[in-house]
Amino acid sequence: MTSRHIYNGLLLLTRRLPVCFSFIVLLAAVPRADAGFIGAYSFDNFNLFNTNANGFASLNLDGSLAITGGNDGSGIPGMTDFSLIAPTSGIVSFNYAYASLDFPGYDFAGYFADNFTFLANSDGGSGSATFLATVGQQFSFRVSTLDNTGEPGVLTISNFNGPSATGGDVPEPSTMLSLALGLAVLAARRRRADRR
Amino acid sequence: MRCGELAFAYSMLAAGGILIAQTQTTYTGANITGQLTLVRTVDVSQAASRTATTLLASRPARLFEQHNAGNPEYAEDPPRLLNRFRPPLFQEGLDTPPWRSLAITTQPRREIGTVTGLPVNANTTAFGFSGLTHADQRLANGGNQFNVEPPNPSIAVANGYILQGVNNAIQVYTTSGSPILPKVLSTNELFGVPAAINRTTGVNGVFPTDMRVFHDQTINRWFVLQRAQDYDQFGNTLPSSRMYLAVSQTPNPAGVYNIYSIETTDAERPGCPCVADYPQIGADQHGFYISTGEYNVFSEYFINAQIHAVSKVSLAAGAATPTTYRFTLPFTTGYEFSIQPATTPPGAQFFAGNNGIEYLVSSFARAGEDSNLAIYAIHNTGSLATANPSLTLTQLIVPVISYTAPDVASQRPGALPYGSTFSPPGSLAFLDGGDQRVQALSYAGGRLYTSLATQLIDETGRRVVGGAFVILSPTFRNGLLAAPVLRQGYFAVKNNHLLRSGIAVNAQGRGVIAATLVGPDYYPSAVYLPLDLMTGPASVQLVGFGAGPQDGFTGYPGGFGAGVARWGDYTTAFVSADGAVWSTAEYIPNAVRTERANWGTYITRFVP
Repeated sequence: MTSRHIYNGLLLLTRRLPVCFSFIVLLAAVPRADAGFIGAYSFDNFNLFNTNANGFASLNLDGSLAITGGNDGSGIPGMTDFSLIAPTSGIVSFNYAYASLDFPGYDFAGYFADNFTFLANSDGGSGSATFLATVGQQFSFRVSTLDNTGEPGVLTISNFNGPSATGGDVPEPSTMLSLALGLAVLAARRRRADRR
Repeated sequence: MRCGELAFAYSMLAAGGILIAQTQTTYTGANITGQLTLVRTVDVSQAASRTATTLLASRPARLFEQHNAGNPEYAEDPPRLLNRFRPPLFQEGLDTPPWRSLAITTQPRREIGTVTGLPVNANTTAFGFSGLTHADQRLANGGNQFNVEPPNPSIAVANGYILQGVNNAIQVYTTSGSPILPKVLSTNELFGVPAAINRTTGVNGVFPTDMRVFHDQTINRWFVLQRAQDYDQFGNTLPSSRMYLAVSQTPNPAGVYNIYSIETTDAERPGCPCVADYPQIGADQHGFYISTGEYNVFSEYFINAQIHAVSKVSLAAGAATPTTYRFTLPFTTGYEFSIQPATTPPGAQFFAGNNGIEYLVSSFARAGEDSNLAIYAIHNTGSLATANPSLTLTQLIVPVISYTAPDVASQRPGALPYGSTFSPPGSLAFLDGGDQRVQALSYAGGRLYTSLATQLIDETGRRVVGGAFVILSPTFRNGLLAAPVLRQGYFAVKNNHLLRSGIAVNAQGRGVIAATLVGPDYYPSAVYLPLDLMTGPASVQLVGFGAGPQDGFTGYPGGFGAGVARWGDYTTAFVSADGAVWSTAEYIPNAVRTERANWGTYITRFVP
C-alpha cells in the first residue's frame, strides 16, 4: 500500500464522516506506542545479566535509563545486559548517549535484538536507533568491557518508545497533536474540493 | 556503586586524571624456592593449654600494684625497645640531628595547606572490645617475655574467628569478643623457638617482632608473620636474621600451624648482614606477598627493598619448601621503600588477566615531602603454581596529593604512675608520629585504596598529624601500567592528631580508615573514619576511649628519644566475608597494667 493510497483513503473517510468522528476513528486506527520506561517497558520488568562483570542499571530522574558496564578489576572481558522480553511486535526506538573514562577501545555499548548492533565505544557518542521487535523476543541494551578495569562505560537511553502491548494505551500528546493537524489539513482540502 | 556515585567518580577522574607520558621501570627477580622451609608444626591450642597449666619457675612481670622499689629481687630486665628503622632520608644528611633525638620536632616541614578538621563522634553503640594489652604480652609464656613497645597490632577475621597479634603474642577470639585460647600465646611458643628471655636463667632466646596476621580467603588459611634479629644468649646482636611464617593447616586459627622460616641475612650483599625490617603483607589469588626493607643489622643503614612472593598452593599443601620468588629493588628512585602489597576483600575480584597481577604501592622516602606515589604490578603471578615461576615487576611513578613527614603528637595531660617513679619525675611524652610510608592497600572493584600519614595544618593554624587517602584506577595493558587518581584527600582533627591510619574497603568499595586519636583533647583512643568512593572520610568515630596518657618506658630517659614515646607502628583494618570492616588500633585502656607500659589495643567492627 503506497502513501498515495493511504492519503486517498483518509480523504474518502473525511468526506463520509464528520471530522470529529473521523478523528476518533483515526485515533483508534493508529498503532500505539509506549513512551518511556512505563507499562510493559517499566524499569522493573527488565532483567539485569552480568557476564564476568559487575555492571548495574538505574533510572535517572528525567526518566532515562542508565546502564553502567563492568569494572570488577578482574582483567578479563565482560558484558552487562539489561534485557526485556518484547511484549508485542513493533518498532522500538530510542535515543542514546555513551560515555566512558577508559582508554579508546576498552569498552563499548550497543543493543542486542537478533544480533548485536554497535552504538558507541569509549570515545563516546550519541544518536538514535530503531529496531523491529517481535513478540516474545528478548532484546537488551548492552555495555561490554575488554578487561573490567579503567572505569566503566555508561549507556544512557532516553526518548524510548516501544510498541504498546494493550489497546487501552493513550498516545502521547505530541502524537495526538500531529494527528489533529493532519486531520485539519485533510478537512480543509475536502471543503475546497466540495466547493469546486 | 550507584549511578550518582559513578558520576562523581567521573568528575574526579576528569579533574585529576590528565595522563602524561610516564616512564615505567621493569624488574626481574629470582626463584629462591628452597630458602623458605618448613621447620616444625605447632598446635596452638595445646601450646596455650600448656602455658595455662604449667607454672614456670621464673620471675613474673611486676604489675604496678606490686611495685616494690629498691628490692633487687624484683628488678626488671631492661625492656626491649623496638627500633623504628627510619626511611633512608634520615641517612642522607637531609636532617642534621641524630635520628633518635627530640630534634625530629625541629625537622623543617613544608606546610601543605589548611585542612578543616573532621567532627569527632563518641560512638558508644559500635561493637568493640579491648584486645591484647601490654600486660597480656608481658605475662605470656609464663612471663618469659620482654616488655615491648610498640605493639604493632594486627588483625584478621574469618569463619567466626578473630585472630589478633601484637609484639609478641597472639589470641584468638570469637566474633563476639570471647577469647578462645585458654591463655594468650607468645609468638615464641607459636613458632616453637626459645623464649625471648628466660627469666630464671637470664638467657636470651629469639625475639620476634613486627607482627602481621592474615586470613587468606582463597585457601582459607591463617597466617602469622614476624621477623627476628638473632642475638646470643647475652642479648648481643648477631650478624644474622630470619623471618618466621606460621600457616594454619585448617580453617581453624586455634588449630595446628606449619611453621616456616627463611634466613634474611643476605650476607653476600654489599651493606649486609641485614635484617628484613617492617614486613608488609598482601595476597592475590596465586601468591602471598611479603615486602620488607633490608637494613644492616649493626648500623641500621637501609640497603634496599625486597618482595617475597610465595605460592599459596604450596602453603595450603603444607609443602616443605613452598615455591618462592624474590625481587630485590635498589633504592634508585627513592620510592623503593616500604612497598605495600594489596589485599583483596572477600567478594571482590582478583586480577585474573595476564595470568594474575598483584598491585603494590609505596611513597617517597628520599625526602620528607613529595607529591607522587609509586605503583607496582607483579604480573604472571599464576606461575607461582608451577615449578619454574617467572614473575616480572613493573613500577610507575604517578602524581598524587602532596604529603610530608609527620611530626610528633602531643598528648592530653594525665596521671603518669610509671613516670612519677623517676627522679626527677618523667614528664608527659610526645608520641612518635611515624613517617609517611604507605600503611595499607586494598584492591576492590578494579580500584586501589591507600592511606598514609602526613603533617597538616588545621583550620586554627596548628600543625597536626593527619593523613591522606588516595583512590586509584589501575590498568595493565600490553605491558603498560597506568593508575590515574579517582579521588584523594586529607583527613585531620582540629588541634589533635590521627596516628598510623590504615585503610580497608569491602568489595563495594566501602570501608574505614582506622587510627589512634590523640592530642590536647583526647587520651590515645581508637577511632575509625568511614568512607567510600563517593564520600571520603566525613567524621571520626571514637570507639575505644582512652583512659589516660601513654606512660611507657619508651617515653622516658633511655627510651625512644627524649620525651618521645613509641607508638603504632601501625593500625590494621580487615574485611570479613560479610563485608564488615574490623580494625585494631593502639590506645590506652582502663585496664590492669604492668609497671613499664600501659598500652592496649581495641578491636571494633563497622558495617558500611
